Amino acid sequence: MSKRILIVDDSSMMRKMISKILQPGGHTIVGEAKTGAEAVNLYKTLEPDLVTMDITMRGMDGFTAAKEILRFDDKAQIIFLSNLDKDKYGPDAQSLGAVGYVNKHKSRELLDIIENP
Amino acid sequence: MQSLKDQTLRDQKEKQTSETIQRWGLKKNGAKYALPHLSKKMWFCFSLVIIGTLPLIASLIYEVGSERLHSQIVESIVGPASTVLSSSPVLDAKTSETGGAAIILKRLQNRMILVMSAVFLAVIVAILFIMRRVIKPLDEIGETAFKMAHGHLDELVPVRNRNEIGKIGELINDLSIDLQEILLHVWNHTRQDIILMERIAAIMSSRPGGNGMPVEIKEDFYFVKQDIEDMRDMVKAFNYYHVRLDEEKVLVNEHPRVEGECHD
Repeated sequence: MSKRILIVDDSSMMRKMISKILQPGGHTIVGEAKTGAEAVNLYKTLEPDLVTMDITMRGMDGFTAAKEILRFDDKAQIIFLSNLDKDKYGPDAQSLGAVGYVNKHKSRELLDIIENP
Repeated sequence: MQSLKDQTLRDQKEKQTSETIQRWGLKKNGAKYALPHLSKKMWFCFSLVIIGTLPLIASLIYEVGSERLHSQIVESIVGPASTVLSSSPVLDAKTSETGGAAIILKRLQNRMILVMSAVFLAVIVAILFIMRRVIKPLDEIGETAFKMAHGHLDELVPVRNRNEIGKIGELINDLSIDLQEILLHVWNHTRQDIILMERIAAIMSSRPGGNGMPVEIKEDFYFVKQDIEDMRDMVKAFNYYHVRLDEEKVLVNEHPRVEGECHD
């Protein structure tokens, strides 16, 4: 089932890459944000089905942005996509209520998680 | 014995990393910003203009109010002292005209002082404005770009407004963030490659009846591994924004910098 997705990452190159991975799966990219604060605002306006969230960003980081989004909508589907070590930060993401944690160098796993949550 | 071997390996690794850092010219904390600051140049030019023009303007103003100019005007109206009679109606009229001219000259001098002060003030305000909105941000961009070129991707250009200079700053920050992404990708990918290579080597050496890896492959294998290690050393030679490379992992920096925020 195709989903409306919001991509959050401070790197424009990464945003393009994620979008290229997701589009063949039939998903629609409804918006892109480069900071946590931008992500929260866009989520409230666009109400996407899913958010791919980077962790380290300028200004508000991904964890804080995810908390804000989940406070606004406790059913929000958030997948963290980061270069940070999965073993160390994966559990934090899970306890926050995220549906997944993917390392960026394995970003092709993203489609599997979206399609088989 | 094992810990001694580990320590030697660690020392070798650190030496190799520091050699890579030197080879790439990165992380030079003591490196000074080599370009002259634009603001200094600007103040120097402004001082030159002041030093050059202020005496000229001052002498012009002084000239307008001077006795010499006054007597020259009197002379041109009344004529040379020797040709004028000591008392006549013509002389009286001309004397009153010269008195009027003197008052006009004094007024002109005052007006010149006022106009010049206003121009001087306007120039100072304009220069301060240009310094604040253009020169200082350009200096900051130059200095940060210099640090980034020395491997400090943890430095970001402070973007204070959304004008053309602010946009240049933002683009430089975006470039630095993209470079960080690429390097961290290389770090994570090469880590995975090393794990795979070690697995292949272990499988080859544990093959029943085999003597491990054939020599010709072993050599190629060694060179590939060495190349990967060099690449990892290069990645390790950079300082990263918000993250650090800890042994094999990418971790959040506990004391991250908070810069590059837009305050407009």
